[in-house]
Amino acid sequence: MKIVLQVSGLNIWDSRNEETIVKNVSFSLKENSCLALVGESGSGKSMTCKAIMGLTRPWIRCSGRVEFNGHELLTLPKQQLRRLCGSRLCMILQDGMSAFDPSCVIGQHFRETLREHFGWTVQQADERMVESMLTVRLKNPTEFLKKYPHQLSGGMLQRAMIALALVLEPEIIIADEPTTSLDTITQFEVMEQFAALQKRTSSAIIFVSHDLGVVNRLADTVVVMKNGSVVEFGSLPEVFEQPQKEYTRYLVSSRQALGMRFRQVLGGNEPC
Amino acid sequence: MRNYVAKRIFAAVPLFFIISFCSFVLINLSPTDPAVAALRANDVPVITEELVEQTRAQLGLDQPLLIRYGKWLSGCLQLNFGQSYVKKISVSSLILPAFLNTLKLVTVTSVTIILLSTIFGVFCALREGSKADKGIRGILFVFTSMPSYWIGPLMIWFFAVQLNILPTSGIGNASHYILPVIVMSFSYIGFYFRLIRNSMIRNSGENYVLYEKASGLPDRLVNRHILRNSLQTAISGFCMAIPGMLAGTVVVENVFAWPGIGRLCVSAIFDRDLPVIQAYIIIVAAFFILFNLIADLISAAINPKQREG
Amino acid sequence: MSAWKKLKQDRLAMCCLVFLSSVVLVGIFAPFFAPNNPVAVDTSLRFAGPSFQYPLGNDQLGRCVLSRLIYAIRPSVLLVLFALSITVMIGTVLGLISGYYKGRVDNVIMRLCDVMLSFPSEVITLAIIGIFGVGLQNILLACILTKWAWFTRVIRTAVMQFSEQNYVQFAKAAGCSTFHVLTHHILPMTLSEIAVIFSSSVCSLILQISGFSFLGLGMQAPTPEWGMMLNEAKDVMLSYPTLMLPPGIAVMLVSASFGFLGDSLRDAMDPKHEPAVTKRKKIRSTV
Repeated sequence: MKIVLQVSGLNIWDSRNEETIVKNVSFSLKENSCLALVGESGSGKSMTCKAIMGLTRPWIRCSGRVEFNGHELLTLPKQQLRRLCGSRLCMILQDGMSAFDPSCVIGQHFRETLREHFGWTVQQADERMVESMLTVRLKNPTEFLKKYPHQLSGGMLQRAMIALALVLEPEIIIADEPTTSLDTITQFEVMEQFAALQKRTSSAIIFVSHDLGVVNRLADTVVVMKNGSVVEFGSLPEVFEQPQKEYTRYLVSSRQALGMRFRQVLGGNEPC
Repeated sequence: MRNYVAKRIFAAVPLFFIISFCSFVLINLSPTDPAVAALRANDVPVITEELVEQTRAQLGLDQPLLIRYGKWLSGCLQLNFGQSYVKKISVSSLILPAFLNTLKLVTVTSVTIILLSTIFGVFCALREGSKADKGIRGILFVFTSMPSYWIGPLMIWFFAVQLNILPTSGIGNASHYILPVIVMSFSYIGFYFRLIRNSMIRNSGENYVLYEKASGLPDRLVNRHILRNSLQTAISGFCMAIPGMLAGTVVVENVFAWPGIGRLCVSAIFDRDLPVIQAYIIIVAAFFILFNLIADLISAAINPKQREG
Repeated sequence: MSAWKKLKQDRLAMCCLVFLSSVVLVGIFAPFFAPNNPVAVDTSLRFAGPSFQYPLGNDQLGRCVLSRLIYAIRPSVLLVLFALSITVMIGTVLGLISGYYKGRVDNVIMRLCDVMLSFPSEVITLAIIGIFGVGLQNILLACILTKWAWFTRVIRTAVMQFSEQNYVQFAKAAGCSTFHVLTHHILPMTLSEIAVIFSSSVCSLILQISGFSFLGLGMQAPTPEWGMMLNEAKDVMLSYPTLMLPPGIAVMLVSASFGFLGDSLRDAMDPKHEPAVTKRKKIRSTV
């Protein structure tokens, strides 16, 4: 299979106090697959994702190589990188409630994004979004577009982000802990949509999570991170069944008990 | 939205009554008898008991407090603030033109402040930590800590006397506005500049900015969203500052001999012309309440969350 | 205390602190520092330039500018500090009562604060002077009247925050008297809050009070005061502009120092904020 994203020797540090955040991280993402970034909070997962898309704050510096279909993302001029973001690299954030401009209606964000990438008019954008929102099971999408973020719930906004990703059809979708801030039921609904998303599009997915239950369900490959470095990188069965490192073994065993219940729920409601 | 407007207006009305009553009672608490003050203001050489009684009756001071308050307030609402003790003409014919002059000065100044602090604030926020940012912040800090009663005369000396390019004082054509507006802006601009800059910086670290960038929106659009959200805090601040400026013109008006209410009030204080002082207080108070209301309504109009609360 | 340590690392804040303390000391012991009598008129020395006897020269009445500047610290700075201390005391007492007892007392005090705060302080000051007449004592009275509401509110918020904490609840449960709880457990915690608002309001108050004196509404001649010295200097500005400089610079330096100190104090009290100086040190140690 073709490799769409190759991260090699990625270092990230804070130039204000010279603190290292991510150290020598390497992994590769294959076409039409799902890679899970696993680790405790503060292990550098989110930072790695932001660095790939060039979204770090100005005082955060990166070195190493991030290759995406022949583009070297770290050294790519900002303008070009910005054009890749959204259309070919898409991100879904952890907290839906804070991911949209609080002073604009939701539709605004979609319209601006779609006009930027495809040059669509408001009608075209709304039409496609309504269609896509129905597929992620959002009710009354036309009304939805006219609402402000604070009038909606986190789970709904999360699914709205997935709907946008569906319309954009990017090559890579980076989902940064998309289920963490949701309650169990909504978590399940969002996960269902992710599974469907994987089927519907041919996008590769990077899925950041500390929930091994969720990872077990979606991922093909797993990257385990700890304190900013990669502890283990391999296919899902390799990492989960024959963990090489002590830390992964600890992580798997401690999560297994907690994940049981969740997997039962997920397993019992196979969407396809 | 309509409910919110009604609620805010209903809250403002009692505040106006409380403030007007307080100012009325305070004036009546004055250790100097208003009748005596009126007589002194007219340079009556010998103030006899009889004369005081006469003046009292003449000024309606012998009636109970509440009745006087009622009369005074209903007069105020019709822009009738009584007679000036000193000038022997109605207070409104003194204070209304002066108020218009102050309003002109305040309007030009606030437009200047809003424009400059937004421009500098946005510029510095986009270049946070750079040399330009630090330089502008330093300069504006120095400007803000310069007292206007010091920098004002110095500017008159330099621009009007030494260079002779601007008028020294008074009101007239546009060039008369330049110095007072600059001096007044100095004391406010630093505050609003900081407000906009810091709120832009805080906003640019928000999640929605991250998502907009991740969605590939160009900087121009992202910055517009940041500015839109940052201005929400700033706009209500601006509206609150306008009545504060009405009161803050006192020094600038005296330095530049601007015939506004601040100057009128100071001379009324020296003359102990109580009706003028009273009218000054009530007008500024009314404007203060009005602008607080406008500030709330504007911020409700641009902030969807507040509208419902 | 770590806040004090942080403050000590902030070089600018320490400079301000040293400068302000010396200004206060010089003001208190003005007779020892002033080279001449500040009100002694000598017409033969009108507008004289700096000399050994008169380091900053003489004003339009031949009075020693430096001596006037030093004596003026008393009304311009010391009296402001004094008035503000009274305000802080009122604010602390009301804030403690309001924040600790809550309920109806709190409601009444807070509504009063709302009314006071909904009014620009300049107008209240002008009103007070208008009613009670011209003079510095009336301006100081007005300053107390306008600022107490703000202090009360800030201290009330702090008290409410601390009275919820476990050790205060414990002290209450252990049967300590209310007075003891307030003075021993809550008041010390609010001190930092008080220090911050104190130093930042001194800054604006010095500017404001000198401004009123400049208008002739405050301190009356011949007692020296910075605002009044500026007012006198303004009249002869066209021929002797240099007389404007000493009092103006004095007002500016003192109020700016208080402003800086207030900002630094706020940063030092804020546990999230790391001072810039330590960052630089850290880098040096890692390089």
